[in-house]
Amino acid sequence: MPRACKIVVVPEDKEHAALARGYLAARGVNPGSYRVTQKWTGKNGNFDRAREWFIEEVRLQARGKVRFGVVALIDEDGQGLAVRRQRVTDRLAVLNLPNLDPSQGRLLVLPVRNVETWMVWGARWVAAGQPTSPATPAGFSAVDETHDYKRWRASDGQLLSHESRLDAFRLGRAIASLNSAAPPSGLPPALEAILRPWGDFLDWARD
Amino acid sequence: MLTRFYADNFKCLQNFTLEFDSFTLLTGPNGSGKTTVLDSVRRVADLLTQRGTVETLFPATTLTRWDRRSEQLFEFDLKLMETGSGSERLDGGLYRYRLRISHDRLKEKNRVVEEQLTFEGRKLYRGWLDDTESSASGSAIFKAKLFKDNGQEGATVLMDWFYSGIGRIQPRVENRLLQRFRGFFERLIILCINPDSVSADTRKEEPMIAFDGGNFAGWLLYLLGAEALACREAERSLVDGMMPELALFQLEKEGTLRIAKAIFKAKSEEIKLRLDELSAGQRAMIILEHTLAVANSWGGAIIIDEPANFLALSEIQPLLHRLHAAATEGRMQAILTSHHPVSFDLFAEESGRWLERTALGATRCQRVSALVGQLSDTAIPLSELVARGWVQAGHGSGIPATEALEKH
Repeated sequence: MPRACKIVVVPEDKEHAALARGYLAARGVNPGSYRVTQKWTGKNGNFDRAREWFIEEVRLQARGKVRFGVVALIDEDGQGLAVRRQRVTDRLAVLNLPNLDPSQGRLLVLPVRNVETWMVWGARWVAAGQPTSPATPAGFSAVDETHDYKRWRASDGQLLSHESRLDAFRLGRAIASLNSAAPPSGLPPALEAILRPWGDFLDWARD
Repeated sequence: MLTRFYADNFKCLQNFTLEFDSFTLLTGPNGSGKTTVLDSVRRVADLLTQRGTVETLFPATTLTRWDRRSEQLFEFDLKLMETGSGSERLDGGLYRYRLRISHDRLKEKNRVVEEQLTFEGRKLYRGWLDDTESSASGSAIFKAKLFKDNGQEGATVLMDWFYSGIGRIQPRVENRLLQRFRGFFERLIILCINPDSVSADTRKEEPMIAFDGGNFAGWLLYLLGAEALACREAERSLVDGMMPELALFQLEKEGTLRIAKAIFKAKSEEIKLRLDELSAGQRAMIILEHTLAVANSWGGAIIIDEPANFLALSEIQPLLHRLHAAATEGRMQAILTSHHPVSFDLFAEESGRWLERTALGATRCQRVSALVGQLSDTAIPLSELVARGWVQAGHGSGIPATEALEKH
């Protein structure tokens, strides 16, 4: 039987793409069932381009001719989670398209401040023995979502010392292993907030 | 140009019709029958041009595996423009060709039982198996009725049923229409290039390139004499594109062999490389450029399986554009099979035919434009929609693509 894509991933850049692939792989999604669009521009990606591509996918989905879920992964980049999210929802509203709704196959994943924040968390989490219980292991320090772990700058502009970052694919696998009902402590809030919607999205896409 | 091809009981082609434009892109999933279409056209063309017999070209293994019938049927519609002037003038019009081959599965024998050619509805040739008037041995015989260009009946002759009778008729002033039909197939280029099979040496001229391009050196030897201008044109295109340092091609004599070499010049240096020392992509492009130039010169047709294979990304779009331009400007006809996203996004909606079959089922064909339907109105490239598996004919059941997805 010919294969057919059920999930379209719109990543801002290659790290986001790898994260999504790791997540889907860990959740047992067949690589033939999803498609990662690869239209990012330059090394650092592009919010507007990813957003427009996501909107186009939602437009196609809304026609109802093909049943598929679409997930975009775009960094918050210090703009504010609500602001970033609103820039997407406003555009959907202007175009009279259905709003974000993971349980209807439309998901926006917004790492704060960027995906590198989650990668640093991932490295620290792995170093701490990959704890899955909400109890904080000794010596584990949480990441600060106001820091820029991509450029190693603190929120006040001070340089941060470089540290390990977990490979994005392995990070995706790690995220898939977390329990959304009882996440480990020290999880970045934006990451914690996305665990359940991402699960709901996948359940919808698999139906 | 070829406007219609019909095949029945040939591999996965069962009651199968395909219509062509001046530029046609055949596409579809793996195993859908694209190469089988090319193969069947090639075999009929080879039979018509005396490059083989029904025994060698249509063995019993070419019968549709699940079909119990023992006859194969092929038809071509061929539209040719008016040619010549004065007493040499030949009217333009539509040729219809029909070939029926019968197989005896037990004896593993086969033979032509019907062959017919008409022009604008007028008979030019009719061959049939006659078992009413048996020969001295008591078995059936194959007869052919010849017709003159003006429709007047000619002689009835005996023919060998292992060959195409049309291919064996001697050229005469009164059968020029038939000769023109045969000439089209003599110059029909069908290619599925395999650079690994391309040899640099040859012993003789080859008037036609082989299906895999293996005898290119021999064809080049022929072209350098017969189509020198086309060779220059091909060299110019290579210099403008993939091989800017190319000076020319030569066939150097070494004993009884001729060795095809490319001569490159950069500043004051000159390097000669045998054809088989070039990269696979370079060999493929050299063959494609010569094919395109020659087809342009002949005003014939080319059928190419996966022309984008082996080529660098930067080479694919220019090549496809030139093929398309030459075909749409009426200099030649181009029929391509391709999976490449560039060819899909450029030409599939306008010129694409989607071939698809179910497991153990026959090939069916639809225009891509009809299949894509409402999916086409999006900024997302068509190739991307195809890659997602959203463009499909619905498992041969006529289910629209999107419903098929939901079933999946």
